[in-house]
Amino acid sequence: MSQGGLLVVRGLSVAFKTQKGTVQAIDGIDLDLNENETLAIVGESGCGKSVLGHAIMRLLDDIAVVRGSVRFREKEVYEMDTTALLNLRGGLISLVPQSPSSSFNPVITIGKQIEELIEKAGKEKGNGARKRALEYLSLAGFSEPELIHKSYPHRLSGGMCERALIAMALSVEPELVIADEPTKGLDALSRKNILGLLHKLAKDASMIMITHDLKAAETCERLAVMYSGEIVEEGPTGIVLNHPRHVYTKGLIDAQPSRGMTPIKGRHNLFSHNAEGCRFKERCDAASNECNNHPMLSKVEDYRKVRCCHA
Amino acid sequence: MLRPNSKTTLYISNKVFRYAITIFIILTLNFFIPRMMPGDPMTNMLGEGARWMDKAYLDELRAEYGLDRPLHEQYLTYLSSLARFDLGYSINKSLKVKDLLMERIFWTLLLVFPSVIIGGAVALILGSFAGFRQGSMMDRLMTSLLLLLYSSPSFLFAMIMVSIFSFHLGWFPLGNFASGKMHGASYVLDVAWHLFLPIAILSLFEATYTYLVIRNSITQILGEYFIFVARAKGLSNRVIELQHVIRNVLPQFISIMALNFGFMVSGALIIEIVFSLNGMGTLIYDAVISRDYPVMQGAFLVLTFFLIAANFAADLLYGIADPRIADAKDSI
Repeated sequence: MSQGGLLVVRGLSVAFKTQKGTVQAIDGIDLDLNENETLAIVGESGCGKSVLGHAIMRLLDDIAVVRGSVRFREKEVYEMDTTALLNLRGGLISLVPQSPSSSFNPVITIGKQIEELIEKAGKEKGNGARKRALEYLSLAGFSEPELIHKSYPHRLSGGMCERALIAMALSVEPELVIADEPTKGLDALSRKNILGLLHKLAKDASMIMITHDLKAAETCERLAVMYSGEIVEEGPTGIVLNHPRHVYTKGLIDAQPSRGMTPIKGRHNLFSHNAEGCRFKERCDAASNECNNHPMLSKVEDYRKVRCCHA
Repeated sequence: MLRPNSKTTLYISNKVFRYAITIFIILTLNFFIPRMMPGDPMTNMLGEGARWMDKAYLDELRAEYGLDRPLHEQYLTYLSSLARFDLGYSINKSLKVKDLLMERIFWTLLLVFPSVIIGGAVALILGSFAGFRQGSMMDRLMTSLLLLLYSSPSFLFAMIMVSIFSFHLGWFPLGNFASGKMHGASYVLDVAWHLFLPIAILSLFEATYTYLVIRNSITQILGEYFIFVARAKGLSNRVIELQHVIRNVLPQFISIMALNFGFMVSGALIIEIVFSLNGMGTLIYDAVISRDYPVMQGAFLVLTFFLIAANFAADLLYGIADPRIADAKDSI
């Protein structure tokens, strides 16, 4: 894949030092994203997909040990000074945060919270910022943007907060949108609306959608499946979902309600990130002696990579 | 938000009604509790002599103060006097309770009002500073210092201060509100000079608890998800601290300040004693010692009003500081 893409991640690892030992949240992630490309990152809770999103924006706490490189428009994110970093966050890269109802500050109006971002990003000032906030609220499907603008967050439902968050994130016309679990806790209809809205407003931007919802992932062009802090399969979404090569990807697909909800056997635990060999072998029916060697993410077809010695 | 609509009016009238009931209950307790204490004002006034006193003379004295009548009659008289704003006469000091209270409240407010304000401001500033730089040298130093102060007896601290600054250094007077024989501007300066040390000490003590609450409150707010989102928006630490965190501390700050204001009228007792200041604290103390029922009733009445007024003000301010509370009011 091209080296000159919008986002180039190489060997990105994040470890958290805890009292029970070091947790390797993500390990040796390589990722490329081109302009106007949409990528879904799927995996079960705890696989490190949110940490990856936060690490790209250099948003992790001080207790996280980060190694590797994240380059955005060929600038190393981990070498940026404060000004450049604040310009990157909520300017070039916008986060659509998860848990919509706790993402807004409860004592500040929705409008003010959107405007402060627009002004910070240097897009508009004063009344111009207000107009832009209202414009994006109505783009997000609010028929009475003024009412939402002057509302405090507790007056909005979860779905409304999610739409307001999308309006906020996109109001600065970012080059990359990182949407963290945008469909979490939504019913089927709201999910469809939210995904439609997200793709509509982000049509001029690239997007990384972090999700455990394969239906949401289907709306993105490319798909990366994560397990225990590593990417285990990556490729064009349609191909990966219709012809999965990794046992874990197959398991995720079969675990969907529409496919009979067959659970993947065993349980994922935080310390399996440190395991020797293939991290999935304990839960894999096809596991053999070969799996005691840590498999590499290797190309199996054009545009397709799998981390499994049996693939 | 506080809006002048019918809902707000309804909310306020609802509150006023509830407060009226509270006040009535407190008035009743104010009457009965002093009378449940052992001893009575007469025995106390006459001291040892009461034992050899002619029984008839004692009864005569009691009758003079109306203490011979059955309790329920005294209670009704008390209520009807209150309705006429008549607080009665002090048994011990032979003064109108109303006059006594007016004078004492003035001095107590002069002492305590600035202390609560200064203490609150200091606590908010230092507490925020420590909260934002948790674990830093400054934070650890300030927190242990204020914790030490918070847990040390205020009379001891006050006495040490008096001993250092008034006795040994001679910078401030040993006590009282004024030197006397002064007028105009020099009188005001003289009072300020007298009150400097007690206000400084009271402010510090007001600040300790508030500081600890603010600091912990900030720690908790910094862990909220919306603060993470604010960081993801690329807002600077300054904007996050001043606009996103401090605004969320305000409801809690307001409630502590309201409590401090409510208790301030009685809360300065120890400082008043150490500095020989004749304010409300010493008045209540003397009244309790001498079983001076009318003064106790009057003083407790004033305390009640202060506490309730402070709570009422806090209730209204909450709605401005936290929109969620304002909405909850609307739904009453």
